[in-house]
Amino acid sequence: MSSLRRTIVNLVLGALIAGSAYDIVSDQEHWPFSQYPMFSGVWRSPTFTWLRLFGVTADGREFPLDANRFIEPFDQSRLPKALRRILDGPDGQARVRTALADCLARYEDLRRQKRHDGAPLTALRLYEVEWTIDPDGANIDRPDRRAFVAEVRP
Amino acid sequence: MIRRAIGWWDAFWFTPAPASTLGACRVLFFGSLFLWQWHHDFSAWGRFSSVLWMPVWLFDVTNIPAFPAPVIGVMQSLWKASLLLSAIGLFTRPAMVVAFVLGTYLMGLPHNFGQTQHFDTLVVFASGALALSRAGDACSADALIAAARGRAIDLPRDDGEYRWPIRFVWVAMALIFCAAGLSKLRHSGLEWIFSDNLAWLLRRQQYHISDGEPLTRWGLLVARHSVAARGLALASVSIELFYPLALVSRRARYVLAPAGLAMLLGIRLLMGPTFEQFMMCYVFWIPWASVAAAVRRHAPSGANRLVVFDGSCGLCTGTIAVLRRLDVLGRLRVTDARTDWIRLAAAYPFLNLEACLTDMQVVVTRKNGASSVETGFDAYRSMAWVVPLAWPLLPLLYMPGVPAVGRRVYRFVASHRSADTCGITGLQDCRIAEREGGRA
Repeated sequence: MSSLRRTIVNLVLGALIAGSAYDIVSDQEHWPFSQYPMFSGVWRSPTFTWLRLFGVTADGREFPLDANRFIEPFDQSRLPKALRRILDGPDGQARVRTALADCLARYEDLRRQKRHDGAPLTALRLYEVEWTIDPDGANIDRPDRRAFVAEVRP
Repeated sequence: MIRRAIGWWDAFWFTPAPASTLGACRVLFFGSLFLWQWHHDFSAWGRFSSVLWMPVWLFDVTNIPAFPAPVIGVMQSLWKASLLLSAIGLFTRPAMVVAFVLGTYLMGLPHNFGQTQHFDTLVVFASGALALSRAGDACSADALIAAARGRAIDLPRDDGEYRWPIRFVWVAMALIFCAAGLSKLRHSGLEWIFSDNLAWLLRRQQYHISDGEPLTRWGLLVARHSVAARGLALASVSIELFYPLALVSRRARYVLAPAGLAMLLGIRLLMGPTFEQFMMCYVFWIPWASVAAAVRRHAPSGANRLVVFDGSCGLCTGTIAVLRRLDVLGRLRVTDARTDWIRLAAAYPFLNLEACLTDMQVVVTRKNGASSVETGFDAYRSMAWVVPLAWPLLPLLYMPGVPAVGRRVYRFVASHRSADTCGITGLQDCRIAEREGGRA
């Protein structure tokens, strides 16, 4: 191993350690470096709220898009958090409708590709839903409350 | 003090290690990543509006956008091809560089859409380390080709080059685990462990809010028992915080490495988040050269095979170099008929020097002491029994008609060898052989 190569390798090793240490100490994230904060908050409340998409069929029936196959490549963690960030930002309502239009188009694309068996949609609605956590998870499909946030139509 | 620290640093990263362990890690890491990513389609990220684009640091500072879907489609095809090439070790170095560069973009892309998830950062780091490494020196098609062409007749010696990439992944993994433990203590203190926090988390994860559904509903069972949930929380934080000990203590390694893997499996089973890619990086914790040595010691020995070849012929020495690399079970012994003939003739009086210099010969000695000699195609077929990579071919080699064709092909190759196929040292001998009618 030449001294030049060893120096380069040492610099790479140092960058890994220094980059990681910086994010850990400063509690920041610079992907792919991170302080890995997942699940680090303490959970005390028996209730929680979450943003959830609902599809509306031609007969007016609503059903939750609570499986990843309806919203791929998003998932049930990333999409609600993205929509929340959009809503909390400037011009949130208008921007979230643009995002929902993307989600509706994606749903229909996936449906046409037979990647899911969901019904054709006439509208896509975003609700903020709230649950009181049940010890047996018996109310997963029956949130305590839901508040309308936005709707888009094709 | 500083000199001691430098010495420790050098010993940790650059103590000579076998090339085969790093090579096996490369095969398994890129191979499993290729299989995992085969059905993943990143191109859809190129179809979303800019309102959903919230770039993470790397994409922000480099100003790299989400490319249009067709461009991403091409990039992912190239990436998957580079993963496969990296796994089999063909054009290994460029393939690994492409795998790292495109992989960093493609795996990083989803994190620009609202949430940074953490299951693939280690994959990016591992790919980067391998791209800079000499992981293709063993267990690769490149190494076999180099051996066949006479460029790398000897097996690579132990070297620090084969240690640091593995240690790099270890350290990256330890930093990730430790950072996760520190985050919990920083943001929640001991309450994260000694409250009903984990019980609530386990229940909440059942409500379709994760990137992956929990594979079981066992989380609800654990959550019912406060002691179990707190015990699990204590175990999780302990594994995370103490994981760096695995870097410096062999005993700690035996406990913490499997415990970390079990924790990731537990998260997948009870909570949902998909750490499968992270788990793939566990191949770097296994000392594959030692595993192979243990297999060699404990595998049924069967018949021994002594390969007798003409060491003055470049084609023969190239073939032997390839066989030595494929002989992971250590069942082949090789000997040069020219330099070792006196000993060979004494041990195996039924061998004939002229035959040995004409065709590859394999002396098969069975446990009862009986010996037989296989020649040419039959010699190769005999060796296939003890070379695991050739096992899938064995049924084919015994199919009716195949041996006849194989013998003809062998004879054709042996009789059409030109001087170009011989090493420089064997050039003259080969020419002589050609004049005499050809040999393998």
